[in-house]
Amino acid sequence: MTRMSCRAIVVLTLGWLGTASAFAQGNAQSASALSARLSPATRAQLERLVDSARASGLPAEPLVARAAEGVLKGADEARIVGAVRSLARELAAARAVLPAGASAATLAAGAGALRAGVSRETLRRLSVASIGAAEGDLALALVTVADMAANQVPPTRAGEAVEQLLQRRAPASEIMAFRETVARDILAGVSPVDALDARSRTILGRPAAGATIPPIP
Amino acid sequence: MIDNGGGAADGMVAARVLRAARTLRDTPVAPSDAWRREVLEVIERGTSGAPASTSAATPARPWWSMHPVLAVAAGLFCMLIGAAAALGVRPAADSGGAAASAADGAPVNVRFTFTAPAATNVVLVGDFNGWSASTHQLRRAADGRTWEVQVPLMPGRYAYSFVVDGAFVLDPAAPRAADDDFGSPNSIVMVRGT
Repeated sequence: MTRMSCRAIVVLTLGWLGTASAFAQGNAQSASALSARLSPATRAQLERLVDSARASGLPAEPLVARAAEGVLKGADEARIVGAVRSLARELAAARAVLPAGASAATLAAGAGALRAGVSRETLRRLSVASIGAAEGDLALALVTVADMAANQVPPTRAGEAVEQLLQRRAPASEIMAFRETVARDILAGVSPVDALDARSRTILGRPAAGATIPPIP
Repeated sequence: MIDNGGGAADGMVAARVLRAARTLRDTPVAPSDAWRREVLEVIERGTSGAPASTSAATPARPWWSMHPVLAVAAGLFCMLIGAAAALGVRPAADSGGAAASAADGAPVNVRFTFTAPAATNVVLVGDFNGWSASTHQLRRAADGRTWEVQVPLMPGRYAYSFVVDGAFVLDPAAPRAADDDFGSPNSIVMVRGT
């Protein structure tokens, strides 16, 4: 191998290392920020919570992220520990209802929906409706219902509307458009229930994009 | 038909053929002008751009070798291509869409935008950067009103917030997270796998 070839390999290797380190930068900074700003006792408590969640098969990343969020927002340590503990409980509750093997994103979305007041029954119905749907559709549906609930739409009604979209195999763009239009109407002063009803009639009253229209008997 | 039989007539023919052959051999050939031009053109084409005089002084370079500067440039180019592939650099998807799509499980560049003409500093914090206020600074766009930044994200659900001149602000275009344990709610971006 020539000297020039060696040089090219060194340049390539350094490039890959630089790229990888840039990608990992966020996590490293998160860990160092937590270490620097929390007391040893709180850090130990958080580590126990995260280890316990990991041992029971729950994703650890959302818990670490929640702690990091608390640190950035200047929350006191007891509040940070409480928030992480609550999230761990919600993740476990979501996992009990959502399909086995649900991704971390889906579990986190389920936990967020439970926090927003969406019932476990609604989570279960959405899970059933998403069987056979594209990867990520269930998480998107859960995020959508949680967002509507946060906008004062009754969670059960929001869940029913999104469930119908899933059953019709509505594409992600349609689910997103549904959420956006309902949110826009609420912002414009329409009551959450009226906004949901009106947009449900609009979007559910016509066939989903790409759906096969059943023949009229 | 060839007859190998002997005879005087045959001997005379042979002698005449030999004489004719000697005459042809000793007569100088005068090439035509057209032939001469054609030969000169072939010679000129063969030597143009490859001076034979340098080949003796410089040893011939193997076909796979290249100039050191070119080698380094090629290395940098390959590095950029590799980094682009590793980071899945694709046309950016807007965070406001709430469901940027990452084909084949690769990261996708998600563009976060925020309209704040009067702001002096806008930062993006979220699950993807460990809620660090020092990694994703938004830049003011050419219109002077919009701030933007692109972040490569793997498929997943991420909570995030803008920090506008020190205050946590929701993304008005994105879904809202219900969990506001720390007093300020977050926005959600979904990056979907296929």
